[in-house]
Amino acid sequence: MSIFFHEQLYRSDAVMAKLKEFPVAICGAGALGGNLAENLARAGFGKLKVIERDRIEERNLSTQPYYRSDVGAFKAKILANNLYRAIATKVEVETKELTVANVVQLLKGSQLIVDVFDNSTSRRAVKDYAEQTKTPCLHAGLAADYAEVIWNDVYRVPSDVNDDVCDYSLARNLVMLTVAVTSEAIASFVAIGKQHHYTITLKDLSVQSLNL
Amino acid sequence: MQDIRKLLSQIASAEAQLQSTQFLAPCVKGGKVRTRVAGMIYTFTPKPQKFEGWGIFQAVNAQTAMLIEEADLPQIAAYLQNLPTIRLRLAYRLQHQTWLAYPVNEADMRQRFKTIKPVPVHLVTEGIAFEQIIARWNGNSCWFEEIDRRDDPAIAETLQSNLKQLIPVEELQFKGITPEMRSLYDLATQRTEGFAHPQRDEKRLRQALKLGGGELHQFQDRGDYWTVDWTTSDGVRHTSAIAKDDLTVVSSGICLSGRDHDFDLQSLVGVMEDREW
Repeated sequence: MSIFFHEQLYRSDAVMAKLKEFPVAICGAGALGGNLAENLARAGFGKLKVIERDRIEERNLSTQPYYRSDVGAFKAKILANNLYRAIATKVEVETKELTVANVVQLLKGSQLIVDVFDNSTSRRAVKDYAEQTKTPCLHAGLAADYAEVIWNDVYRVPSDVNDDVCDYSLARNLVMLTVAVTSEAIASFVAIGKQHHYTITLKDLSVQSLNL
Repeated sequence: MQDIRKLLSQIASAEAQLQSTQFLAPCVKGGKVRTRVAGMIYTFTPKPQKFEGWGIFQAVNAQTAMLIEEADLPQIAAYLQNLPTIRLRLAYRLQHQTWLAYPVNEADMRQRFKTIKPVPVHLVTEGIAFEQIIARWNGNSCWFEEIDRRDDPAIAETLQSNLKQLIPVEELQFKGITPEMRSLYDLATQRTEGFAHPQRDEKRLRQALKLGGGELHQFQDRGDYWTVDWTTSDGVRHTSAIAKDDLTVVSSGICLSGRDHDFDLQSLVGVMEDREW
């Protein structure tokens, strides 16, 4: 009986083999990225890379998978350590800011890029890199009670007006809903190559498939 | 009998390979790093010298090894997994990432390590006073592995609260308390302001030695450290220089491979007793 016993029964051996070997880069290790990395790793993804420059703050603890004792440490490193301790999955980490200057270095080798950054500059760099290299790229983003999960070919980078805003409302349940939808979109892509877009609204607890 | 020239040639070849091979080693701040080649132990001064933690090193000459990069958790885990585990509770920080800790289960420690004593634990990257940890013992030093998640965190909080209120160890009472926790708490009170005693310095030294199984004879003030004359339980006499602030060893009186600061007075007793003359 393996760590991934139940997931394996659900998805099949063949799909699990794909998940294990598929290189995925997760851009961001905050509310979406941190939980997403944990979700994917525990679902059987074996080749994850996490890119995140920020350190853990106390206010992150309600929506991100970190502990009080982790405050002050790099999110990406703590995330990798926790996953290794939990399920022995080795996650590659980069604690650098992703920019136009280093995007190639950071993302090369990834067969799927997941953009969950919290700033438009890095999101723009990821989007452009994915377009230029024809690498599949999925973007997930949050607003107060709304979220989108959009593939790169129809994704639009949001304006930079909210880039430096620290005081924003964010419900944990919206985070977890979005993480679940994003995870399933990724698993579906890896398993059968389909790219589905979704919108999520918290107040009516709705997940809608988006046809664009 | 093997050809001595062949042996020397093998060693020379191994030494040449040493400088092209990276090795993983723990590094205490101000300490040295070691590796083994062809059955021989090589000790290097790390560069940068201020590094503290687990590192990937490469020798640049016979005395110095360069830090290539900090080791990651899987690498550290691979190193530690071959060493026996011991569950300890942290008492207080000695210096940098070295803490004094006490066994969670004295009987277990006695059975496996033939002794019961507080031990310094190195490279404690997280943890607070009284928290339970898992450490690894390599026969000479104790290395932090992780916080023990099986522990009830309320225990550490309760002990901290009692210490803050200056509750004497004799009056310590709470559900789940063990004799080991009392010993741990008593250790911590010695470092806490408000638990002053007449002739504090002498008592402090005497108790530290007693806990380690030694006996104080006399000590002299040397400014920022004491020169301490003491004996092990089997009567062997030693003189050591002990730092005032945290009782770490400045000079043990014997060669500890330049790692005197890895030890404190309590643990030094065990080192002396275990030493084969």
